[in-house]
Amino acid sequence: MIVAGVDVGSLTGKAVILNKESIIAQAIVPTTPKPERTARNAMDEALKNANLEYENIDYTVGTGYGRVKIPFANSEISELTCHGKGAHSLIPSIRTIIDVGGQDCKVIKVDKNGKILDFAMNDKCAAGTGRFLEVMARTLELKLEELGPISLEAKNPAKITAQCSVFAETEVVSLMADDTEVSDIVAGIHDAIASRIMTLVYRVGLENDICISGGVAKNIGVVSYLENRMGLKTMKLPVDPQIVGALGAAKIAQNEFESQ
Amino acid sequence: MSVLKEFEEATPLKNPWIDSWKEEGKKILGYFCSYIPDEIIHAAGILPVRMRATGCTDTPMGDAYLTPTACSYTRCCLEMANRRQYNFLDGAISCNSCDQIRRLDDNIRIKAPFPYQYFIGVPGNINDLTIDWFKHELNKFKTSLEENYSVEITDDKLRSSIKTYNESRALLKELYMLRKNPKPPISGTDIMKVLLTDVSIPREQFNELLRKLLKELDGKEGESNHKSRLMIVGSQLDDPEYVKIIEDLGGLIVVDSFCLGTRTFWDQVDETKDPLDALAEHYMTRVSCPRMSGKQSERVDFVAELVKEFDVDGVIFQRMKFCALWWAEIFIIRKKLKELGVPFLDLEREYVLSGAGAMKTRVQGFMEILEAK
Repeated sequence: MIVAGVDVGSLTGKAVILNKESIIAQAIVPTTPKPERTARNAMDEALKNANLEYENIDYTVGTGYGRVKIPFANSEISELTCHGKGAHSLIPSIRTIIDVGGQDCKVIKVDKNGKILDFAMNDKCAAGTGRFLEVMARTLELKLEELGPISLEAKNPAKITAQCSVFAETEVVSLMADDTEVSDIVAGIHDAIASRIMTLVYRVGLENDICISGGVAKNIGVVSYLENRMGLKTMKLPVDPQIVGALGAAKIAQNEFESQ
Repeated sequence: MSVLKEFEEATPLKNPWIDSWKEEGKKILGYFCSYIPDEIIHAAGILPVRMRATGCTDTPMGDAYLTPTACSYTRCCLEMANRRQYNFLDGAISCNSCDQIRRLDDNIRIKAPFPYQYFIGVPGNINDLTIDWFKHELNKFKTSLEENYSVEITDDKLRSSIKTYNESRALLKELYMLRKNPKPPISGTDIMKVLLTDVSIPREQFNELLRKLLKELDGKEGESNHKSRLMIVGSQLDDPEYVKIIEDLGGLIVVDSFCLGTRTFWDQVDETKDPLDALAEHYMTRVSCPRMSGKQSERVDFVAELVKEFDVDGVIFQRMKFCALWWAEIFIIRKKLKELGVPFLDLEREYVLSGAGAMKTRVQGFMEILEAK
């Protein structure tokens, strides 16, 4: 049985192809204005990596904000369930998943079987998400992947208090005008994100073990500032944290295909 | 034609009943909160309609005058007033529901005043003294209506209005009882239309329509193949489309606790007492809005009772962004429902329906939790 999970997110599209327990291919592509095209691009690339064709896939589950627009998917499941399922399938002791994606951030609680019990998602605002980091990197003329390591070099992290990414950018511009050390600004940005994520953490509550998924989990600065605020360590996922949603979708595809 | 079509005609801001009422040369007053006893307005021969901002799209003026962090209901209402969308009204009655409603009233008086505007002081806590105080407030309001519209609001008229309103309450409760059915004959979306009609057309005609609806639904079973039975709790909601989005995802709303719903009609007004005494007591002691102090556990118990009575699988807590009163209720209700093992979804929204995609993701995720249970 070969199945696929496709996660059409706000900044990237992800596809995972599963053959029984093993991931035989995965792909991450930039999001296009059309969800169906993003899904197709991700799937084309994953299929190419696996040397397979669409007809070789027995069942596909779509997820992410573009989930209803994936023509080749057999069903669609919310990214909340998929992230829960994906993370739990990788580390069965996981009870809390903090997913920080391109335009939303969510905290998901699962039981010992990986079923979601509760969740909280950010409201209409990009502060505390990947888009926020992208905007900040551009303002500071840094590469996105440089942000995390630089934030850890800070001696006096700056305070960024704005609740909104647009106003936070204004604050950053003022700090730059004051010749604040770049590392201190970057540290302030990361702590601000951690603070926003903590609001969601408080809504749902924390239970060990905890992991962070989504593109922002690759940023060591966010992980570290968040762990500091939680006073707890997070588990490192054995796969690229950005594909957890697509992996969860593929796991659900297996179940749905079997129970057909 | 189903009588539900008639209820649908009452969902826009202005409706055919309002038009014919005006053609007869009679007065209409808008009121801003469920704490304003519309029985008194009715007894003056005036049509009371609940203030809505249906049709509002954006709020540049509301944002400027009330701050962008005021709830979108108040910002939309100010915007509509300024755009003269309330010109069909002869006046507006407000009260200190919350600071935002209070400041909305102040700004309307400056920016887009109505020919008649009255403000009722509603106590924030409930005891013998404050109930008595509220009775005096209602008496002053009655006198103001009498003077302004040259009418006499006799005790008999008040008694008769209370009786007519109690009839609505009983009929609405009867309608809600049908929702206990495993296959309710009416959807939550259609109930929203009924609740909007309740606050938008003449009382006697509403009762007439309700009786027709009950007759039509008698013995009927719903066709809905819903996956779960849901309850809506929270702040002001007057948009059937919002409920429809939830129901389209497979959850049927079977009961509610919000200010157009059960809270206003679950209990009757005492018809044996002095009418103003009875009204003051009823409005002060019925299931409260979080604007009332010290009544948290009563509100939560009411929700918990309805959850049991209507066999509710999950509770959707919908609240307007920046409604501090309802925001601070989240964890109070959540704790109780957790004890009962009832899943709970906190859903923030704006008055004008927007971001349907994000809302669908949250509701779908919630439905998946309920299905997996």
